[in-house]
Amino acid sequence: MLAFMARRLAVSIPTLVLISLLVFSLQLLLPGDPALAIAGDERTPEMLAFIREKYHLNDPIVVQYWYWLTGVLSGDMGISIRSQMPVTELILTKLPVTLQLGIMAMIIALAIGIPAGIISAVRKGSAWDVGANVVALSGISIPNFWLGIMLIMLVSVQWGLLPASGYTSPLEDPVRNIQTMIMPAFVLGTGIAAIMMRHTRSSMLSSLQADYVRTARAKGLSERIVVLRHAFRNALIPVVTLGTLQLGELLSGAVLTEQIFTIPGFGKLIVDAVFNRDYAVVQGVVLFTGTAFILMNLLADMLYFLLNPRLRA
Amino acid sequence: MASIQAGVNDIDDLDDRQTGGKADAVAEIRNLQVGFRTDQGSFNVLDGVSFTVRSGRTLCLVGESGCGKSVTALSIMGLLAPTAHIGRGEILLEGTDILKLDRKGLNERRGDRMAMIFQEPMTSLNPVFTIGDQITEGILRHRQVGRADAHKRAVEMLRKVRIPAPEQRMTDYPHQLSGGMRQRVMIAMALANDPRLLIADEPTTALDVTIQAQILELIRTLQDDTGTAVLLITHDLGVVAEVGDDVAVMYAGRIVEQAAVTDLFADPQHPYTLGLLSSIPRLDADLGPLPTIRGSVPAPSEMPAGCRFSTRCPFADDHCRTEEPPLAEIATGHKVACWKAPLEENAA
Repeated sequence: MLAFMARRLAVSIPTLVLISLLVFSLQLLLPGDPALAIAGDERTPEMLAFIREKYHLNDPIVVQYWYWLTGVLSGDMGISIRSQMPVTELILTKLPVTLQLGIMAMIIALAIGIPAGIISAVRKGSAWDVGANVVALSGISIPNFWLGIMLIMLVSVQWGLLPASGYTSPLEDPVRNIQTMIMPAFVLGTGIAAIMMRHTRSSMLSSLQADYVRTARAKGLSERIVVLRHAFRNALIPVVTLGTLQLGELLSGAVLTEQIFTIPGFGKLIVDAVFNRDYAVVQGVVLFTGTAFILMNLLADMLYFLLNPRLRA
Repeated sequence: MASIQAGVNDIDDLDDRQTGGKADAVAEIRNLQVGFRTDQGSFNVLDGVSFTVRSGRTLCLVGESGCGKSVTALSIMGLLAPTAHIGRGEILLEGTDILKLDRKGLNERRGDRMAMIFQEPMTSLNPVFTIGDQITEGILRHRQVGRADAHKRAVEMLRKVRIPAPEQRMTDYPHQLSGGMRQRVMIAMALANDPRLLIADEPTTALDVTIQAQILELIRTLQDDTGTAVLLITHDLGVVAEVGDDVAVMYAGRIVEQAAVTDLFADPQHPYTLGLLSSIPRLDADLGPLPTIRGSVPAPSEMPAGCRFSTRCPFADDHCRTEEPPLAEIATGHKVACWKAPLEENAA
């Protein structure tokens, strides 16, 4: 297990380096001179020269990359030119919001997707199966922003049950926090639930056909145990991998959903940063979410390893 | 059809009277008919199959691929695919018709009174559970024992099927064992609750020849210890000669000949049985090209009227092609479904 993890971790390092290179080169690819953006309206030549010197903008690109990378590794991702706040601090304030939204969405996705997938596999061809597939297909096809707007119109505007937008920290008011987060989490969760349902279904269908399921039935086990213990344990392996990768995607911020519900998470942070040409923030967020995604990949591999005894040999 | 059926039942009764003293009937299959629903319609794959498996004896069910051997076995275990349906017939296990049982009743008997081992040891064990878990699971399901006792019983079973270091193997996963070892685990699992009937569906087909002999020998030895009735499904007449007591030859969903193994090999009566026996290669004589049975098994949708073997039979005449021959007794315990039987007298 340790050797496997060490190997897997070693493979991640080149990926991380590649991400850092891409993230760094973002600022070179983006149009506009950062010195001009920082200087604002008082752009005297001396001022620009000073800024270029201060931020190493005159140095060769490789040297700039080196300054930047050593800074990142020591937790310094630069300063947001808009808010004048350290990027690391900005990310850390938004992280709990995105994390909470992602986890809530994932819980909703699992709670809907997995049981629906199992039922539609076990009752293949029944009204249940057809119904679940139609709902799943709609779930995949309906854009999040449309569903979000519809929910706001119905639940908040028509029925007045939940706040339409905004965010309250759970430390301030836990109930209000759940009220503001449940709709965006639902919007994100249902889309993933549909994908999870489809995968659980196809994975279950193949494991229900397996010889070991016939063996389990031949033992006289109840159908519930045959399905949930013998078939599902095997079907779970690819589903867990998928779920972990989906969680990785959620952590990179749900741009549209966060915009619609004005949730101050990564999605909103990155959109604002792009519009403000706040390069340090864009770099920081992309680097952070890229790393999070790689970590989730690593976690998926670990879970796969734990669930699949054939790999442990 | 009804009159033929009555005839078959009479013969069964006669058979019971004659052999009743020998051993108890553990499983009696009576006039079993099984069909499959497909997009092209519904087809019968078993048509009036009857036989009896007796305590301590091995009945071999022989025939080509697709003749209905496995369907027969799966019907007994209640493991047929949902597209299959049992049209009529009875499957008596220790006197109870298991076709009339609900799922709970069936599950109480599966893995307890009757058990099955399959053709594919590589895929028949669940890859994510240890073999110990998989054996104890069946014991805990049917016996009122605690985990410790179930564990002890599982180790004992692994020892019985001659798996070295059984205690250590309990925590192994299936992929850590060879095909032969996995089949031994399957046998241990099947016999853990002392079933009265063991169904072995081509248990050695997927294994090396040397392992085949070991597994067959193992089944035989365990049967001698416990008196379990064995229904062995095979296409290999060598296996029949080696371990069988009785044999039923199936062709296209019907039993065409049934006898004690020695009688069948000494005096085969059905032309299909003759064909099977003459297509076994021999090492002691050079007989030229190996004889084969011409043609192939008709598809369920194209079953001929009359005798189903008539399309391939060298002796077939108009009678054979129009009327189905009943499975009739031509000597004590030797039944044949052929208008020409006994062949010595009737076939030119």
